[in-house]
Amino acid sequence: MRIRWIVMCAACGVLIALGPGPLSPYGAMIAWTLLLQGTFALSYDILGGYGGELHLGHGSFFGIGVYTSALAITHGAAWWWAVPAAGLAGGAAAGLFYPLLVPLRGVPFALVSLGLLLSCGLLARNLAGITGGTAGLSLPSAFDMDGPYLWSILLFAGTLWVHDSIPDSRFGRALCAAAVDPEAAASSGVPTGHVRGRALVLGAVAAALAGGIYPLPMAYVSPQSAFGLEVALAPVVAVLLGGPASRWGPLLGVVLYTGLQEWLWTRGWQWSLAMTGMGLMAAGVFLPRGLAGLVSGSR
Amino acid sequence: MSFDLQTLLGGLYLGALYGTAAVGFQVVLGSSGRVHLAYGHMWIAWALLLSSVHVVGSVPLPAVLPVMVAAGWFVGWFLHPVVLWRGPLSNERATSFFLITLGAALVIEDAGSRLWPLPGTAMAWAPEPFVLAGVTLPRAKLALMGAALITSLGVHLFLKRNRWGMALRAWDRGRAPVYLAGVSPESLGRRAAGLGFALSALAGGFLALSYTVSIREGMAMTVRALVLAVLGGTLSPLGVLGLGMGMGVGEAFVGQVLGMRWGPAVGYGLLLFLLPVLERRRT
Repeated sequence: MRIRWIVMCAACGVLIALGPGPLSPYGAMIAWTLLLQGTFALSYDILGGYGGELHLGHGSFFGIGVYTSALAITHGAAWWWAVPAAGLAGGAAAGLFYPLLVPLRGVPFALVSLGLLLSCGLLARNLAGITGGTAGLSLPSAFDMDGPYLWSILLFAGTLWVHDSIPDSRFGRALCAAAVDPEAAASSGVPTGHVRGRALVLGAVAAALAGGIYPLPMAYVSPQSAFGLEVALAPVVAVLLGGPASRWGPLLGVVLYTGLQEWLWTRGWQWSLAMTGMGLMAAGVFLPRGLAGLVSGSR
Repeated sequence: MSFDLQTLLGGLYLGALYGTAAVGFQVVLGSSGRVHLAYGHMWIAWALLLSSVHVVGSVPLPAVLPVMVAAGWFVGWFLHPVVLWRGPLSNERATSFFLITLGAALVIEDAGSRLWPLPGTAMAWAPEPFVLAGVTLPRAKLALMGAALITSLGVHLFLKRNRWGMALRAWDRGRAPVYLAGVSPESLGRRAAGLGFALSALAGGFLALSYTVSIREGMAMTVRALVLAVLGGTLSPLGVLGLGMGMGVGEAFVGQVLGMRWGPAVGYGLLLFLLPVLERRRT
């Protein structure tokens, strides 16, 4: 454990020290995408993996982060204020959704969380006075990659640390117990609702922070780029491919999924939604425990 | 007054379309016990297909619709059970079914948005409307509303009177009665899937005759069908149709007040606030 963390800290230090400079603009964008997608997938895995729920609405927190950050910047805030504001907005939204989601389990949970995602998309499309509607919002200008890249590394490292600590923590054990047998967990004194609620908020804040960083180099956000199904379901596919509730599964899934998408994209195959769909179907048929389950690394 | 009656009529018609599709969704839900997330996309894909074949291929409508319903039956009967009932998933968790159908929905949406990049146009079937007490009544919509009612009544009678229909109702309550009645669950699953998807094709046909639709609305359609199927009562086609009409009227009035783009909010609202309540009651 300690050696892995020393290696991780050293790797983060090197990445921060070098910055995106040594990479080509395309390479820097890929590294940044991997960091954000990694954060998004790890945040999903807290409730979607360890919590045992199919959290299809997790992407709504990412989208809320995207819009909060974009709106803050268009209203004159500096980006380093906009990103924490996105995290706060994500946490507040999770607190709002808490009474709807936390008492539910299984398919009803998945359906209601999907309903939340669709409702957020509907609001983003229709509240044109605030969000710009289907035309989206343009930021004053695209930001230099250095700042967002540094923040992405820090956010990724922080989320990885939280995700990695879950199995060995009291909270993590309670979360796993609530996922496996909620009645037994409750009778053993585990406050299952509270634990699941904490997991929801924790994942939401990390996803919203990732969403907050997302618009910085893009300089443009739209309902499709914030709440679109291909964006919102990408972490679900990555985690299911890599292996839910495993230490490296979500990251393995992100590298494979993003890598394959990018490879196809550079060859003119722009079928990201279909690929997400095929990934979900493949995960459902062949990989109920993901690749990490095949390699016996899952817990 | 006349304007409100017109809105009411439009809502009832729209709801009859939702109801017809939701009856098919409910048959699939009743037979599998699982939520088919690609259903709405298939419904719209049928509508767009009908529109294309009729308009581009100049094939007469009375020839296209029966063929499409038969194709829906074929999809359900031959292909669907292979993947979802008889394949390696037969004993897997409901999550697998969920993932496969969600994945299928995304694949259909992506392929559909390339085949039909623009929303499909409503077909030019508009017989002369007639005016009754100051309200304009379009014959086409009334005819389609009647067809939706007849379809739901037919499914209702099938479930009440037919041996397979009764087995399907029994299946919804547990496997034992079906086995005891000597009905093959595999055949039952095939028939249910065939019927469910034939109804989706029929509802697609109705949709193509009067509305402009885009494949991107597939998930919203699935949510509507789900809400109606869950709230309409267990395998109750007439209940689903009635609720569908209520939802259609709700959407029409929301559309009148806030704009048509807010229409899906009715279905989403019901899903977000009624499903948790029902689930709490159930548990």
